[in-house]
Amino acid sequence: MKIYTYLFYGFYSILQKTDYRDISAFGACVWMTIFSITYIIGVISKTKFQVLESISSWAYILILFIPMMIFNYFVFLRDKKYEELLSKYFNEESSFQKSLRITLTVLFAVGAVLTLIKF
Amino acid sequence: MVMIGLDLDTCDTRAPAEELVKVESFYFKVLGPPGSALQGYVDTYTFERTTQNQSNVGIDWLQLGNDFAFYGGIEFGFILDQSVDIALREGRGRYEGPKEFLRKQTNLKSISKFTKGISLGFTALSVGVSFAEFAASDQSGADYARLVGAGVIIGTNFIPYVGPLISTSLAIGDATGQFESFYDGFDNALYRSMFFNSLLSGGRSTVGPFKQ
Repeated sequence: MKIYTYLFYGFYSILQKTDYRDISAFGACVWMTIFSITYIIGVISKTKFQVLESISSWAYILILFIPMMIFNYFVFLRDKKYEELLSKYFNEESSFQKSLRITLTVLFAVGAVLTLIKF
Repeated sequence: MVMIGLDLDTCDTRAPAEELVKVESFYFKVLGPPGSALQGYVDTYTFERTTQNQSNVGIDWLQLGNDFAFYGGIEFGFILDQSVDIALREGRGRYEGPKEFLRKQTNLKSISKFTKGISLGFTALSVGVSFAEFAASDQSGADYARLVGAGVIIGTNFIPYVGPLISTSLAIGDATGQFESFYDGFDNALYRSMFFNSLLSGGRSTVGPFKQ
């Protein structure tokens, strides 16, 4: 759970520096969801089970996206639980830890794309 | 030498502007030594249509509508949000009328946050769809180019102020098929090497007779 919150905090802090700063918690949840399901898509695409031959790509994404987004909503967004979690785990951070967090978050996103290409 | 003659009278050549053309039937004759000519009819045959010099490429209106909805929504969210930000900062556009709830500028801000949230959701979903389609493709050079193209179009959204305009312009160009020949070219190894060569050298040739 701490690792999951760690990645959430990484996306949250990146979005704080963009135009999405006022909805950065929601944005972090959305990007966490998309990159998480990208790993799932990458694994499924390497199996013999070809999902996209039977359903459209939008339906495929929505089937994966909606349950994961609901899960993230209950973990982070409901009643602003993310504030409690962030203060619990990451109360004081050095500059090295901050840069490490952002690096690991970017690697998580890049790794999701690499899973699609090479697995 | 093998020659195949097409009997055009029996061919259905009224095919739409698609990649593959289906011919209902044609007559063929293979010429060889005297007395050994092979001839007959083939019922159905499908071949790839030559798209060179084809000028009547139609616009995919459904795709264009989809792209307008998605990327227009993204642009609308950003523009509304930034307009509200500027209005709040400059003190302009404040409602001074009798309705109490409209005087609270946070209402406007909450609307802009809502639209921006929707636009972010659609952006992320379109990223997911691009990833899924890439995973299902045969991952040729053109598929990689389309993936990078989608990434660039979505990534330009994050440029402050002018990003949505650039992104929407690129998306409309992509939806109307302006970049298709560019993407398809990446299936060719020579095209790829020339593209990356010119990209990395700033347009100058680094190899060959035109080396500078």
